[in-house]
Amino acid sequence: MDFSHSGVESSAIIAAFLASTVEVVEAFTIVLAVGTLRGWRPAWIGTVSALILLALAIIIFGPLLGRVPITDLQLVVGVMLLLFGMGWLRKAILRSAGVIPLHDENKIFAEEQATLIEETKSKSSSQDWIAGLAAFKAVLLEGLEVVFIIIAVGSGRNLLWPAALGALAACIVVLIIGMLVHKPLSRVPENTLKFCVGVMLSAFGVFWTGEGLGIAWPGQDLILLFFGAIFLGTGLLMAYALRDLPHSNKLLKTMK
Amino acid sequence: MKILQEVVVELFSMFMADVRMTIFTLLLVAMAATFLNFTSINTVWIGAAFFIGCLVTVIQAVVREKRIRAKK
Repeated sequence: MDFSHSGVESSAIIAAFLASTVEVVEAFTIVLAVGTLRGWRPAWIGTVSALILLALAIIIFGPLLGRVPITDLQLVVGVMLLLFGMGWLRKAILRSAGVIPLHDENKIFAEEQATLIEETKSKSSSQDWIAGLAAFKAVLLEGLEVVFIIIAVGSGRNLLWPAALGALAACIVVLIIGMLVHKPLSRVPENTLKFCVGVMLSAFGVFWTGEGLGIAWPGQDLILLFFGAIFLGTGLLMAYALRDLPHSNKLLKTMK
Repeated sequence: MKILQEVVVELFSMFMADVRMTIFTLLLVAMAATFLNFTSINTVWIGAAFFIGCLVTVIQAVVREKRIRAKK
């Protein structure tokens, strides 16, 4: 089936690109806060050190994946994708419905700068070192999620390279836009991206968990589209139903 | 050491954003595996039930969070 290769491959690239965009934007905000407050040297040192550590983790642990039988790998990765994807979907629905506040890059930028000022005041160690460490932590923690997404989306069908390309494209796009605007990328529709990624990862999760367990999905890979459409429809309906409308309380009562 | 701790917390929170949702999802996987291995039910039906179970789990997690926040 044509979809089995090109369709799944492009889905993997898109999922990795969108998910990585969310994570890279978050890391960029912190690195920008460090760079504008303490200069670009500690920001770059922290960022590059974290990227080297992440690359080492991939080089060391990546080849081990090839030794795991594909059905076992699909099951483990499928379950992890389900947990991760459904977590993102849940959060995106709650944010769309206004139950929890949207991610605010400007607020995070200001908070990070305030924290850095506090830390450099209270500690006797080098201020550049503290700033570099903040950039290192941000890139490492957000990068870990990117690495997981690449492995999860790519390993089920030998799509590690397409998924990695999607993530790399996201890094390049965010960096170029970030260097041009030189302020937090608060206009990136973070929740919409999170919604899309949550839907895609949940669909991949159901599919690969099922394949790992031995379920023969009708339509094979095409069923991914069906899963995605149902997750998306359900998410949009939930977001609409739970907005602060009078009938949302009725819905809550009926579900008690 | 603090960074290592933060890395572990980050990894943990990636999959345990909502503990109850995580437990329900793992239970669904365990149930699907049990039915596949110990019954002769068509795998498509088990797959369909598993998918619907995942949908219900997300819906339930969202509604529960809304209810908790509405009480505050």
